[in-house]
Amino acid sequence: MKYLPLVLAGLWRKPARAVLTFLAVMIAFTLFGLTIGMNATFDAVEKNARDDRIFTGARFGGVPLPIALEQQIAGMPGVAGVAATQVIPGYHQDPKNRVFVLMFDDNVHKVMTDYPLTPQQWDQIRNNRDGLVISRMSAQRWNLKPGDTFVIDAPQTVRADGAKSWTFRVMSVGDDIPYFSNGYMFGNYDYFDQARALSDRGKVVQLYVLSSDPTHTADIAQKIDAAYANSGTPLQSITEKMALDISNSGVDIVTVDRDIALAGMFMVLFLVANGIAQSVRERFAEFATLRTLGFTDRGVIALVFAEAAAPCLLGALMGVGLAALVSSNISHLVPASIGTPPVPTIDAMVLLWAALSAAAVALASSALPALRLSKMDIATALSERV
Amino acid sequence: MSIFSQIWTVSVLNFKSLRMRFWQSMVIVAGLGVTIGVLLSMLSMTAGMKQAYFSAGSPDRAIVVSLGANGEGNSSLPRASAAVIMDAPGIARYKDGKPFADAGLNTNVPVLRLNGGRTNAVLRGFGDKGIALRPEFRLVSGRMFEPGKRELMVGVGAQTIYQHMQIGDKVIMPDGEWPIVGSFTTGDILDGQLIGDAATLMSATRHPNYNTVLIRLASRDSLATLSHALTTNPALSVTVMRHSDWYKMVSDLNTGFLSMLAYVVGFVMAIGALFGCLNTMYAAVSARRREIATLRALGYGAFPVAVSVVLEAMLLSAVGAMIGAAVAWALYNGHQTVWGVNIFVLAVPPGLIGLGIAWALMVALLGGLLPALGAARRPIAEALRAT
Amino acid sequence: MASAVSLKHVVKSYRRGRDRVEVLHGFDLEIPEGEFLALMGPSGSGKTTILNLIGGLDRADSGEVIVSGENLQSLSGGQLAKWRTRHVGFIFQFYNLMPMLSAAANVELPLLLTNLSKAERKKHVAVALEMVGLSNREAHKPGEMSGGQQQRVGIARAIVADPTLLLCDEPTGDLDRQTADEILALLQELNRHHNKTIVMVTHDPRAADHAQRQLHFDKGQVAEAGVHA
Repeated sequence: MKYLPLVLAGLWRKPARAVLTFLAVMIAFTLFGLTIGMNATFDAVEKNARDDRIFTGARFGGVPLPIALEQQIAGMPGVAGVAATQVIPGYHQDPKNRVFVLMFDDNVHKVMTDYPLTPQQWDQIRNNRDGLVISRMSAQRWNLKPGDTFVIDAPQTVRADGAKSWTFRVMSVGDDIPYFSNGYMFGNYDYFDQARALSDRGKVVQLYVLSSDPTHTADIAQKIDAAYANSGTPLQSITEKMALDISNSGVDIVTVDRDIALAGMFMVLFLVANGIAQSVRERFAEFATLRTLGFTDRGVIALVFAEAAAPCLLGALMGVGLAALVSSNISHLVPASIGTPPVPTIDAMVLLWAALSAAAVALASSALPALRLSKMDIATALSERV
Repeated sequence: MSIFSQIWTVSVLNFKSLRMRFWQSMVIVAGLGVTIGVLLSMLSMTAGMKQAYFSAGSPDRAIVVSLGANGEGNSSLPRASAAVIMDAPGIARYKDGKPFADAGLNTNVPVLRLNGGRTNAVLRGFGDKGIALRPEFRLVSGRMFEPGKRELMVGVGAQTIYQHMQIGDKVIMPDGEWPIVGSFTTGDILDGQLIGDAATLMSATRHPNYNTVLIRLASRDSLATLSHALTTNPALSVTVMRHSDWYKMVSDLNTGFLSMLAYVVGFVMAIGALFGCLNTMYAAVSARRREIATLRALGYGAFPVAVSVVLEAMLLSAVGAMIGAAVAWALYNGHQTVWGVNIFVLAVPPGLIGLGIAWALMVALLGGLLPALGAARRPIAEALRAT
Repeated sequence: MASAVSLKHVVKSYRRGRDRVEVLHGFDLEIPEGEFLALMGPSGSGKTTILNLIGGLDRADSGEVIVSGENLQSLSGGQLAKWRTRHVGFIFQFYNLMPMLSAAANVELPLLLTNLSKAERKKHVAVALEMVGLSNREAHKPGEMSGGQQQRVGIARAIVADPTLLLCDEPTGDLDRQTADEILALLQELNRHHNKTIVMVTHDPRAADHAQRQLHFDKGQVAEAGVHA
């Protein structure tokens, strides 16, 4: 560390260059942090996916299922439990502000045991006809706290009295669930079912199935579908692992993210490499002088690498820090009508990747100048100074 | 010498010495190349989507959906409502008074992608006027489906992305297997979809309601009449839109997020490229200090000098942008991709390339301005004296 | 008196374009400890080459180069570097200071390569600056100093690690008459009172007169030798 003043003095010889390079590197690493962090989120969601759960819905066109299926499927071999849900698709005040409220029946808490709801919160859903437990993200987005009223207009979900507007009361706020990247609102199915139009009662849109043997979950999903293939309600079951696997969504977002991060690194590489090459060229005689003082050729190369690495590592650190700041405020930055994108997770792994990339850029940038320096003939380099 | 010939002379001198500043100049080319390349690559998706949606709409048609629905799949119109809707004023009619309108179904059917992945494709049900309403519809091979029969037609786009979509293949439906009897193209988003007879599909999928009613307007101006009649009818709760406007809305909804993402990423990269550009231009001005001072001592004005610096930056960035655009075009233009249940052809149209170059020039303007001003302002004697 | 420097049958040639130019053809030289020697001659005569060989900045094609008892030809690059810090101090015509470091930081540079603690380094730097009469300028950068002051910093840097041998390449070449005399007087003092062996390459006869012995070179041979009291 005693060499640090020498390294910094070398950088600061052209202050404008040093600052501009650092800023560009920081920007590139902010992008890096956001994209790689996004991939980290996808990864975490996929890893956290339970291997013993199945989502079952109608095979064709989202037709509602009769709730009787819940008991039937619960009786099948290999099934440890079944729960039913219905969704109210609506909007809050402006049709652009879309909201989805999930109505849970009494079995949901037995199947979705990993939801971060406390027993009290499950009770709140069970015991309050118009009660909602909402996620922190939703509370932030709609500015809600426990006790507030929340009204939704749902043109396709008609009440028994003909109205299409549903009023709820916020009971409490729960921790965010990664799967619900836009936030969640959970309500009570039984009370909801009783309140809606007669012709719609007894219908659910999705069943959550718990398999008793994690190694056979996929088989059980197929068995369920096979059992109902020719019935009046053909089913499509998908295991949670498959449902949460982002690579099934069509466009390979993970690769796109990685490509963007790489593009940023490429841009920065050009800039840093150019800066170091120029700097070494300008100061060749200075490096020769250092050799006369007793610096080894390796020592001088190390100085050059340090000069390349300093803005890269610092820029990486600050860039990822900025990315973390942006990520934690994404819900405030993105307008609600567009919805909330998955939030990037900036964890130690992302920071490590950033540091490694920064080191790689520094290495690649200092490679050729280092080669020139190692080939330096000290006597000639000294005499070249005018 | 006029201002323009001064600018020209100084700029030419500038470019002649560019070879000595090659790698520095490459920083600008690389920076903008990467920025515009990424921007256009990301926008190729939205450009393709917009194109597919835009072609599907027509100002001569109107679409009726349930109130507040923002997609055909989210809309639900009971049969009774459909009948009322087709009775409304403003609809083009045949000589016998029958409306030139069609109540249609919009649902999904599970399919297998070529890579084995399970997904859904859009399955439309047409009534007897469904195809007539769409003059852009063209039979490509096989034959049309017959009303009342359990058979399907497939769009040419769907054939390239999904398995078992050739004529003769069977599609698994709720009530058995339906054969594919023909393929079609409309040149828009319907190319990635399947169609069949609405009534038959509704009973097979147990869909009691229609999703939409598509209408040929009596004239382009009759939309107001139609809309008023339907929205003031207490028995209905619907939204009426010109078909082209409807697809604009759907397009914006589906591309909004992606567009915003592309621009944000592009903007951030552009800032990085800007810093690189500033760096290079400062160095360029510094390297040419004596040359610039000599020119000015000879009588060339400060303004032409400044302009030549900015021009250099703009030229380099434009080259970079064109390289980036060329790469994006080569990689993505014309490629099919799937997004949700729809198929799109990625596009890097000339308009988009123009946008990319405009962005690059903007960056160069900002990145060249400060160094240019610095070059113009530096006292001549000082620059001549400097070693 | 022991020899500080001993060159035996040294041959050295350079590649200039496509030709090989031989500068030293079996050259011999003995420099006793504590001598102040001036090397003079036209450019290309080999005087700077000799300086570089003595300082380990260059290697002879053949022959022996023994400095302070060490056979430089047998040392590896890394060993040479270490040796240089401890045994040799260089003084250049254009000072070769780091423009972005203060005088004190410039002088400290050779000590960074040793194992001295920060406090010890500071002490040595202060002593060196005192010896060249620049204690009051230690925080200034080279750009804020005159030519003579910069050269003093160069000298301070050359002596801070207390080497026995100082190698000077045209140390007064860029200075005016009066400042040159001051610098030469300083070198004389280092030689007489601190027993430093000094080898100085110079064009200037007046500068050479400050040395004890002069050697005139031409085409790699000693053409003339002179001794000054």
